[in-house]
Amino acid sequence: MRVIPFRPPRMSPEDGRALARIEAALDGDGTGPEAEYWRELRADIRSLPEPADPAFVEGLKQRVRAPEQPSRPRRRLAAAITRRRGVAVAIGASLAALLVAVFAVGVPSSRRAPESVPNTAIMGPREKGPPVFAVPAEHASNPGRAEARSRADQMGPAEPSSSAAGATGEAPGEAGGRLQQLGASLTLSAGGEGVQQVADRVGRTTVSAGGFVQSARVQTQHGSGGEALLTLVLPSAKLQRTLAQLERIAPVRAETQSLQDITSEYHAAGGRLASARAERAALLRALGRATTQAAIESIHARLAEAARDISSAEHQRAAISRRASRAQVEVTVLGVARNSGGSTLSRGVKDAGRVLAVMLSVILVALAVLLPLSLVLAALLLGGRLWRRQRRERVLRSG
Amino acid sequence: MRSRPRALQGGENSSPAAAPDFDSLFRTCVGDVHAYAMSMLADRAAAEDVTALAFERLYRARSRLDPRRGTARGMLFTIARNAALDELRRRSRRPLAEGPGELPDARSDVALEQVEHRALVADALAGLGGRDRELVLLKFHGQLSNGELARALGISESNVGTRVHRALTRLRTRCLELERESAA
Repeated sequence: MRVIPFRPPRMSPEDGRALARIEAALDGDGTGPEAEYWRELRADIRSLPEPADPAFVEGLKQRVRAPEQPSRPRRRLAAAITRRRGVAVAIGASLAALLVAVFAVGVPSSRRAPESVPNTAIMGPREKGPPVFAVPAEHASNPGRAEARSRADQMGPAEPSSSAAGATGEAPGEAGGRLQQLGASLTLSAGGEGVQQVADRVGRTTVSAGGFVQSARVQTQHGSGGEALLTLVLPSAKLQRTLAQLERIAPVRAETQSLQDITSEYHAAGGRLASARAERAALLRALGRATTQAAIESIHARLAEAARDISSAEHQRAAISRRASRAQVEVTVLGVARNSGGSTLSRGVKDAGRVLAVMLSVILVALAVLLPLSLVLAALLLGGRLWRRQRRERVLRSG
Repeated sequence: MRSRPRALQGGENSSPAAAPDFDSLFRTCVGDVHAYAMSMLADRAAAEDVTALAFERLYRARSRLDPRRGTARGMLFTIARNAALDELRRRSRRPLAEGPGELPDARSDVALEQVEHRALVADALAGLGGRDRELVLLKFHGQLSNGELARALGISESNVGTRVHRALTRLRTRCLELERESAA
């Protein structure tokens, strides 16, 4: 077994001095027979090989000056390696540029992401009733919204201003002799204003339109946008106009309108009422014809029951009528993130900070990936160099 | 003794600006590199190949030469050494020191004595181990300092000193032995 010493054996002081004398002699500093001996030995060894052919030297001098004309495969290989190094640098630079481009595109899109998140809030209020149609946020302030509203007008009362309602003689919430229950949900962005301010303005607009706020829940958080949920009850005839006023309060992020036909319910309630009244009339007639005390008491009891039925049917019909005359509107006010109230400069600075944070995290992730890879690559390169060196020097061991 | 050109002895202080002085480097080193390659390979064509390869590689890398990694001369001999070892490995030929070339005219006693001495030295050199012989050739043909030798061999400078001393001592001992044998 061949033992490879981990550390080279240390030179003794005597050997060190001897080596220093040899070095001095070879440098021309030493004197005496020993110095002369080493100089002569070097001269002898240097003179052993034949000198280089002058033609070769001259040719080599010319060839070195024009290395771009490789004459041997080995030189072509060396040139290819040199070229590939440039290609590798170019590929690396391209990848880095691509990475930067991806992040440059990715960061703004990640900033826009919160804009789309509240769209899911559109569906919150909608879950309470069957959605008839929804106007996406991006269409809420363009001609598409008008088109959607005209569709709503075809399904429900068309712009039920008081004059229009009066002209047609139809009750609010009636269209073509049919009763319809209207509803809407609106998502507003508080924008520069606070959520509370927008909610207050929504309430005032509702009251001025003859409606009222059925319920309200305002949640504000320091540093975040906050949120307000309001349930409004509006006269159906003023629904569209009031919605238009509400949309002017704050930017609309989503709008949904719903319509439910309640004509059959109204007619059913009316039928029950008519039936109860007819029964009461028949009982009264029967009471006039009754002769015994027992028959009279029995008819009185049935009359009381008929009166309760009439009252219940009247209540039901009135409730249905109220549903037709009133529209329920769910308003969601979303606050915009903390810095919405700041100046443009401060927003820019914070945006830049966020971008830097994202870049830092990306760099950390990249380092987490690249560092182990680099270590493995470095180990491979070192191992390769050691292996090549061992392979080269193997030939010296045999000598 | 042949002294090294000052521009190539700069070591740590020489700068890449020395690289453009390639003509000077070529003039002063081409003979030494060729002699080293000849001593290693004992083949004129192979020695010329190695010499050409060393100069061409160094010329192409002249703009990237870093003085902190050694002098141009040291790098040149490092390239030549690697190329020579590759050539030896490729040909599976043992490095043999070439014997005396064209001997000088031995008409005088002095010349005869010189020829005999060179033959003796060649025998002594051939009797060394491969590593020792390589070290002696780099030391004498390349005239490299221990630091340059350390970079060329990839070992520490102190290790180089130990090995150089050992190799030169063995060479001297071998020469003395051969002298005694010839005298006997």
